[in-house]
Amino acid sequence: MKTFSSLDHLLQSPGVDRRKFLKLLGLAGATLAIPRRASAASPLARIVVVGGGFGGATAAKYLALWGKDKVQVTLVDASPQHISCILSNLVVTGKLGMADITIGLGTLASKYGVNLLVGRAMEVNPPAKTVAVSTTGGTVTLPYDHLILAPGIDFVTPAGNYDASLTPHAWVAGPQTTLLKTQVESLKKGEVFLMSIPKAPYRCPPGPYERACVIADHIKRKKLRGKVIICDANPGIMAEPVGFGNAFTNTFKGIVEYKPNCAVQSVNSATRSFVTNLGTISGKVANYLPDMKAGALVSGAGLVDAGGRWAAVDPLSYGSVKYPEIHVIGDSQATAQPKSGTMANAQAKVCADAILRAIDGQSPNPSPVTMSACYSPITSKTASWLTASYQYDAVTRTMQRVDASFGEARAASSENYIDMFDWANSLFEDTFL
Amino acid sequence: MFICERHVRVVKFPNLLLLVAVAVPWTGHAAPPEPVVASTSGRLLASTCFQCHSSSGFEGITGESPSEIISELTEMRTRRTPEGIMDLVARGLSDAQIREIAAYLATLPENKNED
Repeated sequence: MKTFSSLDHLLQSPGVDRRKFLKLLGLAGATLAIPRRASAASPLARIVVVGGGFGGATAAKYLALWGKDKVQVTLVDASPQHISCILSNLVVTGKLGMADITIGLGTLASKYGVNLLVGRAMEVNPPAKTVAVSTTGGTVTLPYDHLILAPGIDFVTPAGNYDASLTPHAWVAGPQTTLLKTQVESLKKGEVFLMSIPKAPYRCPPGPYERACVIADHIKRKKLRGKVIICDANPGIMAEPVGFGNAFTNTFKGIVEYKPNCAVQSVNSATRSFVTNLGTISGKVANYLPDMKAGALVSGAGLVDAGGRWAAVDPLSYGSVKYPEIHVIGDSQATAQPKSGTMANAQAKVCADAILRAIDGQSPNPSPVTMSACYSPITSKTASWLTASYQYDAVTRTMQRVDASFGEARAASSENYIDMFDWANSLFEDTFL
Repeated sequence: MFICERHVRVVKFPNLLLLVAVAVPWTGHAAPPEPVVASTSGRLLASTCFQCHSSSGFEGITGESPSEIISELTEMRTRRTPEGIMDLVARGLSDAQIREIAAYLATLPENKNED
């Protein structure tokens, strides 16, 4: 096992190349928890982060990096590795493998001193400021000064006999991704890939359209003469309307059938069909994307208002309006910012900064900026992009999109396709390594 | 886990994040020297840049003088027709925020990533 100091030494040696560097990180990743150096000064603030995705991992890393001698950070996740939704549509089409989108959380421990606890966070007790975690060794109760919840999304069960093992969503990457890939591979000549898009807000605004494109591209390349039928509950394409609109109309002419204002009322997973306001529609593969809501831990802690789906927070700190020392970042929070990995990463930094300021008795930064920039594959060789930045508006106390910063690629291109991997690799590194 | 369509890539070193880890002045137990930007505001704003500009991403952005960074971001922001992502990202920042980002990035050692 590599020690922290020897790893540091190697990483600073100019002769270490990328391959060796990554190998070392992999080795270091085997060490799940390295005790951090305790400070002789004031006791460390105890910060528990639940969820090792783009939001939670970034928060844990930057708290440990920026708050080195002030905080003790514990990251809780059911798995010691994260499987990225970003790029997972390329796993569905066989362009990438699961290993390409699987990232260990161990580097957060070995490089930054984050304590990693592998277990399922079961319950938050806000008055006692504890969170109970079910581990293979039994239940562990973690006390916290600040708690960050980044559990991602949960799904609303639709009417009908919905069964995700028959009609996979593949909207949380993992076994569902593999299942959808298998189903897509089994498509034969003339068969239909049917998918639904829930009413916004949902995780990853361009994601469903991206999926429709790469599967249409698969059908086109394999000369299957099949169809992709999209039932979109929204009135139109929710992200990159020019690029995806062009792809549906031109690139995949005769393959994609896009139906706006088509809301699924019930799902029959056995027959792979959706009952919609436009009638019953069936496919050989039915990719039903359920309505989404905050992770169960967030609603269980009472952070979601009755009738709502997401946790209301103060976007200066992401502290819950109900319990300010419980922060909710990423997909589960209720601000109008898009639910994306890059946005979760940006929010995590604002949250980490605000917590460190609070520990020092300071108020949060009054003018945070967040952004969400992402690339989407359109074909097996081209991609598009989308970006938007958000500034804090002190009058409404909300994050507001800066319209001049909002835009999409003029056209899908092979250059964007190459850039997409730089973007993803960089985001993975900034979040997990 | 690292995905690359370019099978032969120029070896790049060092890692920007490592540089951040070893170079920012609040590591260690001794009283840290004050950074150029006294508040954490520049550090927070600039941290968003590292989503795309870490060592595995787009070109390095550290080690330039504040005036170079300000001039680049200003040029992107005022380009008549925005073309790339950065032309739009720059439009999302105020003058004061650009100055804070530039001042903070200039305190970090140069990242050799020229991709």
